[in-house]
Amino acid sequence: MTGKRWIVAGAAALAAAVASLIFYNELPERMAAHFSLTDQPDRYVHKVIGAFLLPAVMLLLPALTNLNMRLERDPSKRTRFANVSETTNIVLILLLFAVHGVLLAYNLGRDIAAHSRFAPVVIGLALIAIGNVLPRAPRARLKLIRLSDEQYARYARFTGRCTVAAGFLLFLSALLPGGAGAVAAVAVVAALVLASLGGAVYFSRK
Amino acid sequence: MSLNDAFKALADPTRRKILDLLKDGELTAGEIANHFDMTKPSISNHLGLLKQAGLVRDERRGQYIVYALNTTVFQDVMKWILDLQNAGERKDAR
Repeated sequence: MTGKRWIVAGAAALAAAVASLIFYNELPERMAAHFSLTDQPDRYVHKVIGAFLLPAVMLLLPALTNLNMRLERDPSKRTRFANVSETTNIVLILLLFAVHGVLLAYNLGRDIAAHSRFAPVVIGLALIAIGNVLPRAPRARLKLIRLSDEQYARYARFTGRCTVAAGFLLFLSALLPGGAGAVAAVAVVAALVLASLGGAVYFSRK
Repeated sequence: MSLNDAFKALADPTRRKILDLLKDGELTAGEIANHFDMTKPSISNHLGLLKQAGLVRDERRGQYIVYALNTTVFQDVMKWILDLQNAGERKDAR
């Protein structure tokens, strides 16, 4: 399982870094790295960072996952964590890979007029995939809210369902015209955060 | 743990009822068997199929093995659809 995680991360990071190297001379000195809700770039970074930060993060993800797994002493929870993190890692790495591709294309002057559609679609898909496996996730060692194992199991199931629903809604928000789509996407993310926090409080009292 | 295994496991109403029982918390095989008019080996067989499909997980605690729900959100939806279909068929049969 650990090997598979590294293979996916290594292949994605290598492909992303090679793409950056190939187009490195054509990239502007200051690369657009973030976009406002109106599709205008609102944050720029030096091209070394823009070209190689995301490939580095792709490699960092499995390293962090392995470290987190080693901190878990309960072998049963470690196995469950490994199974869930296999899915979440692959989804996050593919998400970063797609973001890297779009950033490179935009900064190379390609016409990515639909990049406001890109964010809700890829983040929506990622939320669907991650939310689907959340009910299987063991309780983290770092406990922000005190929940018994049974309360946590119910909370994880509730959060998983909310995350999948939010993923579908975010995906659908890409179909709405410009401003309305952005407002809907922000509202969906805010509702998901509120539901997760509210759920933790609710299940801690049950 | 293929989709086919999950479908096969969820197709049986007894196994879906076991999943409903586990929604309220972890149970031993004996506690699960108490809810059914069946022999314990039959329940063990159902639990084995659910475990093979990845829908439940087991953990040894002392001399007992406790079972817990291990379904994903889509497997919950699949179960819910099969429950609805089953309820509809029972209604038609009456």
